[in-house]
Amino acid sequence: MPEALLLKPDRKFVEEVIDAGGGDLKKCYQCATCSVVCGLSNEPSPFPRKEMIWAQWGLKDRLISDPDIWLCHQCNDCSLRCPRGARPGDVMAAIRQKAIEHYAFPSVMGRLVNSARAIPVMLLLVPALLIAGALLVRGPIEAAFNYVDPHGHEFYAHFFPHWLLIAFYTSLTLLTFGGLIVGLFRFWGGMKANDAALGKGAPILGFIPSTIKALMALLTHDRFGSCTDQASRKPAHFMAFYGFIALFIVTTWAVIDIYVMPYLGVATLYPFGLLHPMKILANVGGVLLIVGAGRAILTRKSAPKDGYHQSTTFDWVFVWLLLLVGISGFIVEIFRFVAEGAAGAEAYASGFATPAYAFYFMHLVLVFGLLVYLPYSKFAHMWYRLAAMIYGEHTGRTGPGKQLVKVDLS
Amino acid sequence: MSGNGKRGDILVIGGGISGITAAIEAAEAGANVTLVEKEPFLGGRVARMNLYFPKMCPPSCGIEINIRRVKTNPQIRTLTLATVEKISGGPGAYKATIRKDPRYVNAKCTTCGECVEFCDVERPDSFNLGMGTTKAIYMPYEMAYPARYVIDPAVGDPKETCAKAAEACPYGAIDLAMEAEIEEAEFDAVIWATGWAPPDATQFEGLGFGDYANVVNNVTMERLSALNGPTAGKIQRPSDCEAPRSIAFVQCAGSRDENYFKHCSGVCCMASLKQARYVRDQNPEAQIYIFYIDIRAPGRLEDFFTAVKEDEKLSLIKGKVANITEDSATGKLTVEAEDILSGQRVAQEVDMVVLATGMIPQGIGDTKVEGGVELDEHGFLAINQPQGYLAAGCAKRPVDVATCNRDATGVALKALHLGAE
Repeated sequence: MPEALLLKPDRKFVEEVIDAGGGDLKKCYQCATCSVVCGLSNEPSPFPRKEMIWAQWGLKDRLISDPDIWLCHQCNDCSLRCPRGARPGDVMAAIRQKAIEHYAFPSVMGRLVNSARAIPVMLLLVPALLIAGALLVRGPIEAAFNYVDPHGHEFYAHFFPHWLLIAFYTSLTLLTFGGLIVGLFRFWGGMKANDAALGKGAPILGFIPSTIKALMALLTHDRFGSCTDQASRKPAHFMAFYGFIALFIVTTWAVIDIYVMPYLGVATLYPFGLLHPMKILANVGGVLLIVGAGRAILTRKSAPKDGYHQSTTFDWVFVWLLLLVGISGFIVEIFRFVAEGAAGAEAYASGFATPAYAFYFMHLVLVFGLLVYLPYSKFAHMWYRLAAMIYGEHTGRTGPGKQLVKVDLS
Repeated sequence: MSGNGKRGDILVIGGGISGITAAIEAAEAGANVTLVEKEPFLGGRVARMNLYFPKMCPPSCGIEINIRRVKTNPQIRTLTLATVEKISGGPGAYKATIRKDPRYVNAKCTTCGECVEFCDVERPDSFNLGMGTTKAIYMPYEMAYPARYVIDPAVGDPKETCAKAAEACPYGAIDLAMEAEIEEAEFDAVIWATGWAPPDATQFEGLGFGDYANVVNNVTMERLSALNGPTAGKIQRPSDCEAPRSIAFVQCAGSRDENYFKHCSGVCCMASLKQARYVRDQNPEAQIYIFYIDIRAPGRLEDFFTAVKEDEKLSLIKGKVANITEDSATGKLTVEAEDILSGQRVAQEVDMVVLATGMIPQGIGDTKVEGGVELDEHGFLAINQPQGYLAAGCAKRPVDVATCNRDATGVALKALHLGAE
């Protein structure tokens, strides 16, 4: 290190990391076994040994803007080999949660979404009230604009019309997504400032090529391949990731199909039939999401106490939301096909409507928790990790490759 | 203990440096001591050392003096090849069952060695930790006490392996009809001086012990450096017998590690610094790398550390070695660590690696103890025992030789108290 280190310990931050799952961090005696056994630790900036001492010292600024916490993919090879049971893997996970909370904009959302006590309110009450509110204002708005929904006869659109669905979710998601952009910019600035203070971080690769390399790593999930002891995490994450991407594409396409295509003179195909490519993509995506999230939950539940990652509320809320969104989505879909099969175009007036709408309401509440809170929940890891991976390529943190130096004898 | 009172009968289990010391101190104060050792000679681990730190003098002189004191003291009865099978009772009234395995060589042996050429069965040389072999009839090492040959029945029935040797012995010292004897005896005090053994280092993940020929442990290094060792004191790589031009010492190998042995043995740092000296004394060009977490050189030992550190060819790297790989063509090894002072990962290629493995307590071995003994979480005997047993030296905690001697002397005094009327 170039200069003497001026420590400004943040003891509260140490306690927060301990509470968020890093409870054994003080056991670390800095032998650096973790940094050596880690398959992802990179050369100019090996981890997680330095993060362990920063966490013990309460160097919050260092940790929350440390790109290396995100280059870790949570395989816990380090925790398994740790001679002290200090669980560096769990400490890294706790620091990541704290980073997401720190960069949350507005910051109150970071605290609320991740507060265990606020879960019933934030995940159930708030979305339920907002969705119910949207349903209440639907009639007055349609009346004011004298609007007749062309899809109003469709099963679910009758209950919750497309225009409202899109207006509601798009506006709220974009709103919080704006917060995410703010957080990511601050994170990027933090990473640069952090590296500059440590005399590191000289750009090695341009921003565009760095982004391409990081995206390739993301799409191939190759960095998960460096984990040795918990290899099953890769397929589970891979399925959940691509399942989500598939569903995101389908949703976006549906919006385009309903609201953009008519302006281009193309007839709307919505609702898609079972054999429509988009419907197939949606169903495959849904299955991938359920299987991926389900496997993740099983792996997490059966994780031995010894050295394996111990999941926290932060983790559980996210994986369960993924699974329940997938399951409720399929229930809602099955209701629709069954109702339309039995009652045809008048399905919305059939006896299937009430239970179907109840499930649809629950599905919408769960989707709210997943999408609207994305920048503040564990879901944000997708973006912060991508940013850190781009920054990592940019500054020559080359990942799995071992570019080790010889002992300097001077 | 009154001036003319009973001095008591004391059983010392283990004939290493602690057991020898306790036996001598108690016997010289007047007690009757039975010293039980499972190997065919006294001296244990210390007999296998090359030099003591920090004085860098051979242990042989200390052992020689102590063995003379054992030999000339009629109040010490030394039983080698002996183990305590069973023990019961409490202070002032212990009852032990001692098994004495046959040596097949009696007191007529003059250690002339003529028998050896008549025996063609070999055994691994246990004194040299399995490096090299001896014949089935062998002298454990040149200074062994009792100074007598011994036959190892583990490699075959002595009646077959050494029949010719028995005929050839000019003194009739080989007695192939010897059988194990069981002895019951009563004691006033019992001292466990069962010492330590190196751990099985093959279990230590990533360090390659057992897989890579040139990864050795520190006790092997002592034998490789000792003049009476398998290489006559030349430090060489096991793979090709070449003198290593570079050596990495891996501190805390399997020690201070929840996955293996939690305790710090407290002596391995000094042992590695001492062994670094061995290498540098033999080869002025040799490069030494010591990878450590903390160097433990307390008290006056720090002077030795400071002196060794001055060596320009010695690098101390703060960071534990977590991975060792081998270039199978050259036998060279690459050790990986993070140099935490610079924050860089390092990979150093060396000719040879010495794992600084710790001391694993031997507890009560296979002895059946009525009422049991109390062990601490690491397997060392607790200081306060429910049945009043005493423990000395490394049976109680991992310490160096000087501390063993002081401890054993103190424990001998406690034993005398138990034996006094």
